[in-house]
Amino acid sequence: MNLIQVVLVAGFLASLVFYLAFFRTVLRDRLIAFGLFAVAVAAIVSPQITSEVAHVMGVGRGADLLIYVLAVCSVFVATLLYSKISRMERHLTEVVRQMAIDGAKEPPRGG
Amino acid sequence: MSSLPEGVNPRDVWVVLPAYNEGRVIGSVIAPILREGYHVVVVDDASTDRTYQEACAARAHVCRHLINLGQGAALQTGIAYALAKGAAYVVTFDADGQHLASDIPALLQCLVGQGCDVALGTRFAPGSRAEDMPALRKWVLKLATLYLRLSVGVRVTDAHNGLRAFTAAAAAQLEIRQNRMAHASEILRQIRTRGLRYAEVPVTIRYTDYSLAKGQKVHNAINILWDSFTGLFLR
Repeated sequence: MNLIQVVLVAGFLASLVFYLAFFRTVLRDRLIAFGLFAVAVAAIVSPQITSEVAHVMGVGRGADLLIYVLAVCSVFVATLLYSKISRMERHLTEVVRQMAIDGAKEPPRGG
Repeated sequence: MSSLPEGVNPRDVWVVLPAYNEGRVIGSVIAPILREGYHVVVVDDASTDRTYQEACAARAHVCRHLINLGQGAALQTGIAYALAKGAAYVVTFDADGQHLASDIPALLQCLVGQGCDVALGTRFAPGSRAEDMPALRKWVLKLATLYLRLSVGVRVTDAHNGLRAFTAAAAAQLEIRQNRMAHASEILRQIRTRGLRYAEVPVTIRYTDYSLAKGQKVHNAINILWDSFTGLFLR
């Protein structure tokens, strides 16, 4: 293996371990993480796999295919995060609103 | 000045003032409203000046957001508070002094006399007055209004007027989710989808140096469009 292959596999492995150790998620998400890891390692260890897939898809080079996939993935992730942040903002609004109403200051009576 | 419609007790009317850093003027905005006998609830949207203290000193009810959420969120908080306090009518009113308390009876007359659920203030109908309105502002507002007439299908002449009145039943149906400034079009959209009866009432807007400096910048129209657009998809 080239040095770059070792670095890439180590990087992906570290992310996988980090994800599994610190983010307790449902089994489905863990399986997806494992699957993505396996695909990444396969593509790193034998780069001709991406080339072959690229040819099947009608893309010239494996590297080009990776760029396209990466573009789609990053848009997907950005959309996912945006919707999650929006939902959090809505929940935060509810909390702040309830605290504002509960802690409202009323004017002194009379006078 | 017109008087209140018959059978309306001013104590049943709650005026909601969303305020962000309006400490300099908030007291002078609250006083004339209280003088008419209405209740006032100020929603201090985490101001960094003395808005909270000034509003308390002016004897308003004051809700305070711990963090700044935007005018739409402040309106919804004030409406929820007013309804919890048993309001029969809820009026929204800008805190920067551009509205007149003396316009409120005409809005209430529209609810009581014409049987509307919502009365919307307009600065562009016959009988209204917009004092010293800059020309650019006028045309951006007209353009925005045209856009809303086409996209939402409401027949209004002024889509971004902060002075409105709701019956309690109508106010309870509002659910403002646009925390920032896109709430104006959101309110119109909800009026439409919930089938509320609405009418416009001519009101006076006073453009002062203060309100122009504090208020919406014309270029913010772009941000509002963006918020409206994403708001359609993110539920």
